[in-house]
Amino acid sequence: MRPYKLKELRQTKQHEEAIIRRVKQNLSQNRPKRRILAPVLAAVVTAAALVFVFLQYSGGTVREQSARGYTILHVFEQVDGNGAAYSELFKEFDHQDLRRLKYFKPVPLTEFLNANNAMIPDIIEPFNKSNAEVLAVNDGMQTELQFSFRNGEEYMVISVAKHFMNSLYPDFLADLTEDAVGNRVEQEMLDETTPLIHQIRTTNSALAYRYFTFDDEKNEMNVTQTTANELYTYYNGAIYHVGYNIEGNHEEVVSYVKEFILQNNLQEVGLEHNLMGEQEHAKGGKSMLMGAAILIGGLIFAAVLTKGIGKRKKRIIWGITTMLVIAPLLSWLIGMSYAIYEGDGFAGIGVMLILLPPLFLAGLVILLIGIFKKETN
Amino acid sequence: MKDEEELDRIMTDHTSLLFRIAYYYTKNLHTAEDIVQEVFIKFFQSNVQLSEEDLKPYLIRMTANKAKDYLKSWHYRKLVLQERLFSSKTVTEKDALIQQDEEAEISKAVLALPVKQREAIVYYYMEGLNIREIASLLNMPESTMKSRLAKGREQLKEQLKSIEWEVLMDETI
Repeated sequence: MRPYKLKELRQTKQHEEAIIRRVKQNLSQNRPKRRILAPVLAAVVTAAALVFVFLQYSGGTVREQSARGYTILHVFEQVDGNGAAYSELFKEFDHQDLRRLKYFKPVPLTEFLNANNAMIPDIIEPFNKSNAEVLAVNDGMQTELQFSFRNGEEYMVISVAKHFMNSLYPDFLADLTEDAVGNRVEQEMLDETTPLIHQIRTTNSALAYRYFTFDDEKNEMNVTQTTANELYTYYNGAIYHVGYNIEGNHEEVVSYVKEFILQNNLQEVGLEHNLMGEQEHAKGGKSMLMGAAILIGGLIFAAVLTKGIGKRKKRIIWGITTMLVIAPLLSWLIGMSYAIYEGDGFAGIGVMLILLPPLFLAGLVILLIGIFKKETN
Repeated sequence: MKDEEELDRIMTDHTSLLFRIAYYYTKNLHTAEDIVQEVFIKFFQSNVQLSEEDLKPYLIRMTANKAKDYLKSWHYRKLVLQERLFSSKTVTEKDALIQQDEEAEISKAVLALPVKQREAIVYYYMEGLNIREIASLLNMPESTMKSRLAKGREQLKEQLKSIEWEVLMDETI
């Protein structure tokens, strides 16, 4: 018995030829696309991995800078310590209270100045250069120097802390005539544009004044809280915070502090020292490796998932992968790599903000095409 | 991706069969063309390596699945709806002329069967597969296949009372 053929299917030669012709045509059109996609993807991932490895081993600009700029800290011995000194009045603007610090044991002022070719104006009476001390703390990137002058109960502590942002907010300063507990606040002028804020104790109470003290017995640095007259300004990229307690004329102190701020050469000697230890770098490196691994894993997973399925589903899967995996991780990795290279976290954040939206949008477009475009051959 | 020669050979060997199978489901020559074309493209792009023995049932299954997907698609349902709503008298007259032809009547009757019975009938009578092969191809028990075949035959006999349709089985291809 021979199989029966429907009438419509007895002459199908023409249809068969059309099918074969169109399949061949379609395959020849699709071939180059498939050849390009994989190498491009592989090249991007490989380039990202190479840049990452290069940055890990070269250390970038920051580490070179830190190697050059260690001179100031060479005279100090690193010790354990707790807490951070800051101005109670300005902590909301300079955030110095939030720092996590490395501490450096005090050295005599003369030793520090000689070792570093540093210069400060001659100290005023009743203080003496010979018993003055300098200590340092570092927040991982920037160094603060604290100069302590003592004469019995009288003291003057001047701290110079490198800071990236001007903490003197005009709006805040406009109405500043007394502090929170009623002590008088005077605004001296350091130069034509820079105010020097002077908190003078005029009541029995006062805001806490904090400064670093070294405990010889425990060989560690602590923060001491007391009450004092204070001076505060931001000048030439550094916060100057002074606490003093003297019996004589305040004006002499103010005048010396102005001279100290305007004439020291500490900025030239350098107050930026990247002491972010290997541990922190390793931590950062590990999270970047983890990010890269998740990114590559996501790409492989999406590639496996989309193998041999229709264009529509392929677009949907790749769209979602681009939006949720590629866009955030790739922009983060590139941003972080750039931040390490430039030695500036803000540069990295900038790159991330530039890269994230277009990548995310590209993913969204792929997803929407996948959802709405009819699958055709 | 398979080489050109192999592509040619596979398409030459199987296009005719796959085209018929696609037609049994879709009842439209152009749609059948599209489906077979899609099946081949998908198969060649997926790089599946199969022995000659396994290739034929694999391609048939792909075609049947693709055709069933098409029958479930909105595009097809929309066409069916349009056909029902807008079929004109002229078409009916034309149909009447065709119906004078017995062969055309058989085609019409077979293609009018519900998909489940239709696929049993066409695989068995028109493609010469046995019950076991069809059951394996469509991934269902032989008993189900037998009952579908029996039901399909009953329905066909009912519709083709005027024709000794079993006789046509002996007709040459």
